[in-house]
Amino acid sequence: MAWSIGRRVIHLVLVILIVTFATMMLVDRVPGGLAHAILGDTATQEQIDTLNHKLKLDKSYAARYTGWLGDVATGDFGTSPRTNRPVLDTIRARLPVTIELVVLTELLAFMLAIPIGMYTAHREGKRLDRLWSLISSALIAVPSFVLALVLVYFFAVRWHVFPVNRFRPISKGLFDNLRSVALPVVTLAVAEVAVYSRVLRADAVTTMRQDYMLAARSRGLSPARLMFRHALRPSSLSLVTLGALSVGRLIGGTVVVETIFGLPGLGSLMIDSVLNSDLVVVQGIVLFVALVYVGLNLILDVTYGSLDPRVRSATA
Amino acid sequence: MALSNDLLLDEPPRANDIGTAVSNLAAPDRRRVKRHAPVLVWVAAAWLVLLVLCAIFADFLPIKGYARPAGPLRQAPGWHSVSLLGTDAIGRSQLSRVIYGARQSLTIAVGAVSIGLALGGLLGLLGGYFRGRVDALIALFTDSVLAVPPLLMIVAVTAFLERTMLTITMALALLAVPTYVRVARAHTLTLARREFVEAARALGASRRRIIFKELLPNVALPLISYVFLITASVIVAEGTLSFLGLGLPPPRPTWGAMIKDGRNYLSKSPAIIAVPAAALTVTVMALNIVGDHARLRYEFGRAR
Amino acid sequence: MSELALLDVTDLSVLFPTPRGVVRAVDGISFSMRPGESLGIVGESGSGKSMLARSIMGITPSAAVIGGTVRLNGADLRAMSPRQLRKCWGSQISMVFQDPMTSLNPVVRIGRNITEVLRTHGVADRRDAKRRARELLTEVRIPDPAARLRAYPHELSGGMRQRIGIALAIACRPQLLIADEPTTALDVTVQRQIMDLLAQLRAETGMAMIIITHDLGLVSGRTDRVAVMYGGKIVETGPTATLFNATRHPYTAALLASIPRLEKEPHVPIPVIPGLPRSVIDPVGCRFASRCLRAQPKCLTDEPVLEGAEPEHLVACWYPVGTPEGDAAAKRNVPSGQPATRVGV
Repeated sequence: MAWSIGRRVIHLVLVILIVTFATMMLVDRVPGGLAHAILGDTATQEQIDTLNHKLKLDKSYAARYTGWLGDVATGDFGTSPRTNRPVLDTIRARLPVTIELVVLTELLAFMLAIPIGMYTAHREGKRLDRLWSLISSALIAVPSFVLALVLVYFFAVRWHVFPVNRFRPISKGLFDNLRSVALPVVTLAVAEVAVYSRVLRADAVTTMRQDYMLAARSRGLSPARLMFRHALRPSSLSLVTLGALSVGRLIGGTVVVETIFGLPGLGSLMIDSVLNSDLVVVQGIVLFVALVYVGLNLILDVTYGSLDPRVRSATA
Repeated sequence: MALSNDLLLDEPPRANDIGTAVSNLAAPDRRRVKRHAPVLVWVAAAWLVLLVLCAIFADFLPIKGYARPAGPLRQAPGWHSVSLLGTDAIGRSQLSRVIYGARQSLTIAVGAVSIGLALGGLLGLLGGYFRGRVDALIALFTDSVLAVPPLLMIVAVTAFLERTMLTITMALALLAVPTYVRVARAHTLTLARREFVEAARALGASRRRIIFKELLPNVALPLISYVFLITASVIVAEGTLSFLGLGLPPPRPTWGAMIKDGRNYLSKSPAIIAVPAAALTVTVMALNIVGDHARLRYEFGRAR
Repeated sequence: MSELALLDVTDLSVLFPTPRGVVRAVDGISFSMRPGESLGIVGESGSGKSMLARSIMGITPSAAVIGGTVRLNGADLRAMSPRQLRKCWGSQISMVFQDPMTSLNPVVRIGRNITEVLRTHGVADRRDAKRRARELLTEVRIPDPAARLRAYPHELSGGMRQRIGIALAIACRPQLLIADEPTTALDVTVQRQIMDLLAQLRAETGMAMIIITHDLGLVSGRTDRVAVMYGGKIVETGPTATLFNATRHPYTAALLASIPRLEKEPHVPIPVIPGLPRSVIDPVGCRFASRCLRAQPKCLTDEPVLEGAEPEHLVACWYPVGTPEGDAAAKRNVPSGQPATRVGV
C-alpha cells in the first residue's frame, strides 16, 4: 500500500514538473518576447531589458527553471510586473469567490443528482427514466455560456429576480451574497447534475440487481427506504469519486460564469490577465490550479478505501 | 492513474484507474441500441450535412456578405427581415454571419480533431502495444495535459502564442489528444492479445508491420467513431474562447464572437445573441446525438 | 382445499415471453399447506423451483407474466396492491435466500438490518428493537450477539451469515417461511446445523415452512410432505415417508437412486439421469419423457395429469413405478436400455 502511494506521488510530482516546464517553454514562445508583450509596443529597449532581468529571462533554461521551482517551493509564484503584487497574493484574494462557487455548485449538483439518479434507476427503462436521459443529454450538450446567457435573460433581464454584475461578498450579508451567485451556480450545476445523475444511476442499476436488494425487498421495506438506505451507499462510489475529481475541474471551469456574471474570482482573474498581457499571473494561475488538481487526486486515491468497509478491512 | 474527467469513454474499468472507471458510467445506455438509427439521429445528421454544405459553398449561396451592413440595425428575425434571421448591431446579415461563422468553427474543429486523432491515436497505439516504460511515459504526457482544466489550458496556450488559426487549432487539438490516447490504448491492449497478432508475429512480422498493418486498421474504427463527440467538445471550446474575446480576431465572424458582441443588446434585441447561440447549441446537440449513436454502433467493430 | 389452509396455490404459472417462444418456468402448479406444516419442494436446476418460491412471495422479475392465485390465509397475494403486499412481506410470509455471501447488504451493519425490519413492521421503540434483535441472534444460535450486532456481513462466516438471513426472515414471526436452497452454498457440516436450526425454529414458533432444494436427501425426515418438480410442473407429491418408501414417479425414483449412500458399495458409479432438462418452450407431452427410462410413445403426445389412488399421494405419469403397466413399460425398454423416445434413433 505504501509502495503504490509512493509510486503515485512520484508520478504526480513528475506531472507537475512537466506542466511547469511546459509553461516555461510557452513563455519563451511569446512572439516578440515576454517582456515586450507585457510592456507593450511603446516600451523602450531599456525597459525591456530591465524587465527581462527582473523576470530572470536572461538566464539559461536550467537556471531559470530551477530558480523558479525553488521560488514556487517557498511560495513565491512570481510578482506581476503590472501590479507589482506577488501573484500568490492576487490569487489568494480572488480564491474565496471561486471556492464559494465551486462548493455551492457541488452542493446543488449532489442535492439534485442523488434523488434523480436513484429514482431513474428505480424506474429503469420506464418513461421518466427515458425522459431524463433525453433531458440530461441536452443539458450536457448546451455550452455553459449559452446557458448562462439564457438564464440571465430570463431571470435578470425580464423577471428581475437575480442581479447581474453585482457580486456581494458574504461579509455584506448572506442573502445578498447568495442572490448574486445563484445564477452562476445554477449554470455550473446544471451540467454537473446531468452527468452525476447518470453516473449514480448506472451504479444504482447494478446495485438494484444484487441479491441483497431482493432480500431487503422481501422483508417489506418501503421503496424509499430501499433506495436511500440500502442502495445509495453501495452505489455512491463512482459519484463521490467524480464529485471529488470535478472540484479541480470546476476551479478552472468557473472562467465563463465569472466573466459573464462579473464575479471577482480566479477565472475572471485569468481572463483579465490574459487580456492585459500580464502573463506572469497567467503562469501562476496555471501552476496553482494544476497543483490543486493534482493534490486533490492524490488525496482521493489515498482515501479511496474509506468509502467501502470491505476495502477498508482488506487494506488494513 | 488518470486525472481525466473526460466523460466520453466507455471501456471496461480497470482497478487503479478511477477516473476512467467513473467516466464510463456517464455514457449512454448501451443496451438500448437498435438495428437502425432512430429518427432523431437522421434529423441531427441532416442538420450537420446542411451546415457543412452551407459552410463549404457559402460563397455561392444567395446570401448577403458578412462584413458590410445589409439592412436596418438590430432587426429582429422574421419573414420580412433581411435573410430571415435579421441583422446584428451594425446591420450585418445574421444568416450570412452564421454561415461564415460555421465555416470558421468547422475548419478549426476538423483541423483540431484530425491532429488529435492522429497524434492521440498513434500514442495510444504505441502505449498499448509496447506497455512498460513507453506506456508510462505516454501516460505521464497525457496526465500532464489533463492536469490543467481544459478551458484554462486553452486560454493559457492561446495567451502566450499569437492568436492565429494555426495556434488555436493546435491548442484545441491538445484538448482532443487525451481522449484518443485513452481509446486507442484500451483497444490496442485488447487487440494485441488476439490471435491474428500472434499469427503475424509467428510469421516473423516486424513490430512496425504489426502495429501499422494489423493493429491500426482495427483501432481506427473505434477512434473514428468518436469523431463527432470530440468535434462537439472542440466547437464548444472554440466558441467559449471566442466569446471570451480570446479567439480568432475579427473581421471573420465566429459564433462565440457574435454572441459576445450581442451581449449589450440582451434586453432590447435578444435575437442578436439568440441566433448564433441557437446555431451553436443545435449543432453541438446534433453532433452529440450522431456521436452517441456512432459510438454505440461502431466502437466495438462493425458487428453492430 | 379446506378453510384451514394457510397457503392455497391454484394454477400458478410464471411465463417468460422470449423471441423464440414462451418459456414456462412454472406451469400451472397447485398445492396447499396447513398452518405449521412443512413442505419440501425438490427439483433440479431449471425445474422452476426458485421461480415458484418467488412467485408465491410475489417478487418475480418484471419480465415475468404470472398467472393463477396465491391465497395466504384466504387473501389473494396476487390481487394485492404493492403497499398491502409489502405489509405481508416479513410479517406474514418471508424468505431465506440461497447465497449468504450475496444476500446481505455489505455496507449495512447486522444490527441495523434487523432493527430496520422490526421497526418496519411495528416495533416503534428503538431500544425495544435492539433488544429484540439481540434475542433473535440468540434464537438462531449465534454466540456473542451484542458484538455481532455491530458487525458487517463480511466479518462473518457463511454459516453465520445464513443464520442472520434466517433471523431477518423470522424477525416478525411470519406464518410461512420459504427457504430457497438455504444450504446449497454452505459446507456440508454447516448444512446440517442450518437444517437443524430451521427445524428447531419451526418447533418453537409453529410457523409453516417451504424448503426448496435439489437434494432429496435434505428433506428426508425433516419435512411433512414433499413435492417433486420437473420442467415447471409437480410430478409427484405426498407425505415424505410415502414418497421415499413407495415412490411412484420415475424421476423421483431416479433422484433417490442417485443419492450417495454409505451403505452402497464403494466405487460403483451413481446412476445418472441421462440428458439435461430442456428449456420448456411450447412443451408437448410429458416433460420428462426424453430422459425417462420407461417412456412410451404415449408419453410424447399426452401430458400426464397429477392424480393418485390415495388422496395424499399424487403422481403425474402414465407408467408409474410399482404399477403393472409401469413395470411392463420398463421391461419393454430394457433390451435397448434407452427411453422409448430414443428407440430407433
